[in-house]
Amino acid sequence: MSSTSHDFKELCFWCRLGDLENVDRLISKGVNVNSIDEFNNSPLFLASLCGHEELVKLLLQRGAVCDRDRHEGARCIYGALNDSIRNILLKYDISKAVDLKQPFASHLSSQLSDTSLKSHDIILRFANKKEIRLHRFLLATRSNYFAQQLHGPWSGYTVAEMPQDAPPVAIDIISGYVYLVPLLHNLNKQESDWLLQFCEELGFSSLADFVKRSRLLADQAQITKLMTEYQHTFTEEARGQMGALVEDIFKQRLKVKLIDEFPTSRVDIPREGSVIPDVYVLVKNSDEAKSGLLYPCHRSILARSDYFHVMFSSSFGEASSYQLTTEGVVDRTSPFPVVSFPNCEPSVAELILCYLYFDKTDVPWELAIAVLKAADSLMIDRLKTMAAVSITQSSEFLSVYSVFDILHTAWEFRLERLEHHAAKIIADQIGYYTSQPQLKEVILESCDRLQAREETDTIELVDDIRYYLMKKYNVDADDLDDLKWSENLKGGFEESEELRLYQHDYIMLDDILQELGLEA
Amino acid sequence: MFKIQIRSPGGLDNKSNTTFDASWKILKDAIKLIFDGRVSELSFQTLFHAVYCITLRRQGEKLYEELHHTIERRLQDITRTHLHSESESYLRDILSIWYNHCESLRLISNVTMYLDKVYCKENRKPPIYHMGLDLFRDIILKSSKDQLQDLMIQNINAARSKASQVDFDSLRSLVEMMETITDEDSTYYATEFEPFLLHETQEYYRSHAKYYSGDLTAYPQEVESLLCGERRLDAKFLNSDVSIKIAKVVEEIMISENIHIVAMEVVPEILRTEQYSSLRLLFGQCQIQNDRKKLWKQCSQYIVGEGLAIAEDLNLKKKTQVAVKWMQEMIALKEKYEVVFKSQEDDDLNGLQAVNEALSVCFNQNSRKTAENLAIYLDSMLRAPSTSEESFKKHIDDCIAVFKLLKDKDFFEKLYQQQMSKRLLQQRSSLKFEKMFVNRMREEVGAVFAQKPDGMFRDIALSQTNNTRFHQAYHVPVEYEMNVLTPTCWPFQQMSNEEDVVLPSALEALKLDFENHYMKTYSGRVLKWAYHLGSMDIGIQFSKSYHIITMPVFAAIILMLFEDYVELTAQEIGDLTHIEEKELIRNLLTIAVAPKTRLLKKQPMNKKILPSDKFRLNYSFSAPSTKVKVLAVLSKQDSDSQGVMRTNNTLHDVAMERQGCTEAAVVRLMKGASKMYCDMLFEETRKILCHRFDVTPDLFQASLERLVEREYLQRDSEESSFYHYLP
Repeated sequence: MSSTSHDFKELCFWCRLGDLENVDRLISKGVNVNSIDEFNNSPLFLASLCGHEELVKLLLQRGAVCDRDRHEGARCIYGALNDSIRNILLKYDISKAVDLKQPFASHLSSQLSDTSLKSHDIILRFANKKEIRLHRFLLATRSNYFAQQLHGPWSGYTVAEMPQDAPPVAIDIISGYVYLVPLLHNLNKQESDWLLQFCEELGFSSLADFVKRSRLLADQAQITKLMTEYQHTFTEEARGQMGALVEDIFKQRLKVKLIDEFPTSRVDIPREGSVIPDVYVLVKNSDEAKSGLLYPCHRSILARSDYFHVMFSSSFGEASSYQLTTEGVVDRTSPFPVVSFPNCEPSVAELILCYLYFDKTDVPWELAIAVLKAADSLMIDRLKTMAAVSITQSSEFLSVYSVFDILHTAWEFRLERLEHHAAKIIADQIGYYTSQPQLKEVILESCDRLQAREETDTIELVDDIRYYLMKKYNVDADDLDDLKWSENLKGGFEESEELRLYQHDYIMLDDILQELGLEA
Repeated sequence: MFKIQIRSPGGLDNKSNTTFDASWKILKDAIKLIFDGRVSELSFQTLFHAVYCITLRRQGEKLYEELHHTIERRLQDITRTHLHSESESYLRDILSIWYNHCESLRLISNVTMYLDKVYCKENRKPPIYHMGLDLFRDIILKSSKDQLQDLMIQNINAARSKASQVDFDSLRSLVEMMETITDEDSTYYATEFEPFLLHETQEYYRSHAKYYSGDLTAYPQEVESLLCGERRLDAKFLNSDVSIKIAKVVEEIMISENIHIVAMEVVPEILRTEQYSSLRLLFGQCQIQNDRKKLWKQCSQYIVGEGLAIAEDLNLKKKTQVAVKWMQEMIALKEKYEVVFKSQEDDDLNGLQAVNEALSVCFNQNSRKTAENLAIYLDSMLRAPSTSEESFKKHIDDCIAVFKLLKDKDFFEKLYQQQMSKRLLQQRSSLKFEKMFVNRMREEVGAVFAQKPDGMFRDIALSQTNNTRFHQAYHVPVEYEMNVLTPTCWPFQQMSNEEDVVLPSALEALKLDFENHYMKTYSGRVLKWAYHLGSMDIGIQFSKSYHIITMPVFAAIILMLFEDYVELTAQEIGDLTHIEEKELIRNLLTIAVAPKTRLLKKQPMNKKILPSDKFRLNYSFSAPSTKVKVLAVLSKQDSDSQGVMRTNNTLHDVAMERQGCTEAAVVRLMKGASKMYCDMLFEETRKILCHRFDVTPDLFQASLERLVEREYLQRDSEESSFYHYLP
């Protein structure tokens, strides 16, 4: 199962370097973390060999398998750089690691039983009076059968009656499968027969595959291994379906006229269209915009953003406009509210929706700053980080934005990664930037930021630039001591070329500081 | 269709059109509505956007202060309008203010979450919610502190005295409130209320203990019911770990603080009235080690009192009866309290220790007397042939237990050996039981104890085989038994002139035969005869009846003279037998004067023996049974002086032995250490010998001096209390 895809190669590259955010981003794209490269190296092996402890943890969390009984797993443990990593690998127990999942999948699973939003809108009722509360849109997205039912016979129902003789455990598995909850059940013959029948009807072919294969296995550990393998398949399937759902949402967006930022007229988005929304998201590019776009969306997905989660779980106006039926699920006949995204272009808004629905984390550099700002105001930290990663990854970014834009963005939205990135760019081309008046401005700004916080002697930006200067010429602190010593001797020692260059750049920076009358 | 007012959060593209004041006004109005419970009229989006813009514009500090100010003023207003100190529902008022405040804070902090995340985190300020809680603490709780606490404790105390219906729900909610609010890195409950609560609890129970007027023996029950009540009460509004603290306080006040009364008055009273279940309760309540020790000590003292009250019953005629009765009572006392204290606690040996300590005190009040009584008790037991093995074992255990508590163990040993030797020679006890006791003592005390008794057993056993062989080898006309005793093992003194005593010819022949026989088997041994230890049975046909008379050997020698003589004077008897004068007089008194065994007629008939007194056989002697035992009588002054003398002898022996032991122990110690301080040497010696007797300083000093004299030890030339060993 050697993967030669471009993404996988990139994943391996970041695993060697230990870059958490980039690895996270790629895994979210659906790259299989349990693949191997042309030298039979798995990402987990590379990360543990190179000693990236946090990354090893992340890979394990995202479902990387370290099975001691197999060659790859043993190699990871054997190759681990230090004991700390080895212990993490040894402690990891495949049979217990059941919630290793992609973030969007975790969120979906949590929505099955999370009642803080009260967003469930259909009840499946079984013969034994057992009831499960679910989301219509998710049922329709995950299964064509459910989609047909919901748009057809069940369209007016809040309660759907289920077959009388369905065993409860099969129903648990089906609802769990829809919400990507890991499968943990041991089934007897009768139950798995039932389950297979369900799968057939609902079109869950990979779940059926899994059930058939697991029936042949007796050992619980082997079943668990099989489950882990299939979990990836399930997740990727769901990702595809969610992607299709988002496509539908985009298709059904409506252009609306705005007066005072609000839609002017009654808008006619089909309430029971294929996406089955329970909230509308208004996107416009400025407060003065005369028109905007209205996207039919779902509260349970939007709630991945802390902003929306609080909005829908507190008692403010937005949440209190929902009515519940007597059964305690959402009354779909009362109107749903419109909520707005921060002012942005539709492309940005759509990217955010893609992230929320299925973890799309590839942010094009052109949109990076806009996505970053919007993610910050919606309190979606992971997407914000992903946008920052995109900025640092992109070579073209600087052709449109200046390094000072990066710096300001970093400061405004508290992204250390970007601060360092900017400092590195300045250090790499110190000659050019020392001639730019903006450099002095940002140094002064950095100085002010510090005074606002605490009294310290250093200026963070200057320190960072100096650090990257050292990196640039491969100088380390010991060499610097030599340097000062030789200064005292008035050049009595012959300096290396790197040291000389470093000294040159260093003095350029110092000159600026002197000009500004700063000491650092 | 879309009626909800919506404003987007968003970037800073339009900084111009919203100022801080404008944004703040929106928030301020909203907060007012939140306080009024009209939150559903508000748009989260709008409010969040306002906070977001302010924060991004780096005006977070200003906003934070405004919020602080607003919440503060709100609380102050509420205090003024809603909290009246004379209100009957004061506690419930505070609670309702608290609940409203929490709800408002939750909503406000929903709106300000961007401020919390960005401004508060960077500037290390508490998030808005916590700021609001702190304000509640400072404004509401601190101002109403005294009244709140007083009311709460009034309620709690009312519940304690079961006076009225108490609103536990409110109490519980108030405690929860205090536990939610932080104060100086801990909760307000922990810093303010708990110390107060514990203090008040102390006060309450202190006065309760002070005015306790019930029965002393019911005190433990009272404490128990208080504890139960308190536990039930606390469970209604406190956490379990706090309840434990309170229970501790109650115990502390009721038991530890009053330990003197409890120990001095309650414990003796309980023991006196034998309400042992109360005692068990009391020990259960008393968890502090020191206090428990005090209780045990008191128990011990009580037993001492009871033990000392058991006096020797001097109404009984015989010394043996007195001793046996006393021992039995003491042992019964011991058993009684062992059973009582054993049931107190399984893993606690303090009880048995207390009993032992108490008895030790009683016994060592007069250690020698106890040793003597014990010896007599044991003697009487061994002489009583009817005892079963089981009960005998139990008696042995009792005796050993008493023995262990005894200080003068060697004194007992001496007495025991004397009595044992008599029992063996007179065949008055079962060898099986004798050996059983010796073996048990060997286990308990060590092999030293068994040395001499073992020698005695050996002699007895050997003598029996010898007798059998002698009977086989020689024709013996009379029934005849010899015991050959090793002098070192037997506690007798040799009589000086027994060699000279003239035996009747038949006996003399027998004696010579035995000597010959013995020397054949054991050459090189010296055989000495100790007639005074022996006895003889003689059958005599008196005028009315025939009697077999058991009597001491000397008496028999005298009596047998009358086979050849009709009448003899005392002087003549002495000349014929060579029996020492004192012994002669004693034996003559026995068979001529003692009223029940008057085998000789004395002339003149009085109670004094003079050399000129004449004796002849008394044919008119008669007795109710065929077998008659002649007991050697003692003349009046004799019997007194002999008793004293015997004790004195024993005492002397014991003293000599002690001296020897002490010296040996000192030499052994010094040989190892080669030099030592006097004090330490004393302690060590004492330790070594404590299983035999208590070394007194006098004894120790005397021993040291003798050792110095004999040049085993040398005093240090400079320090007189430092000794060197001279090899």
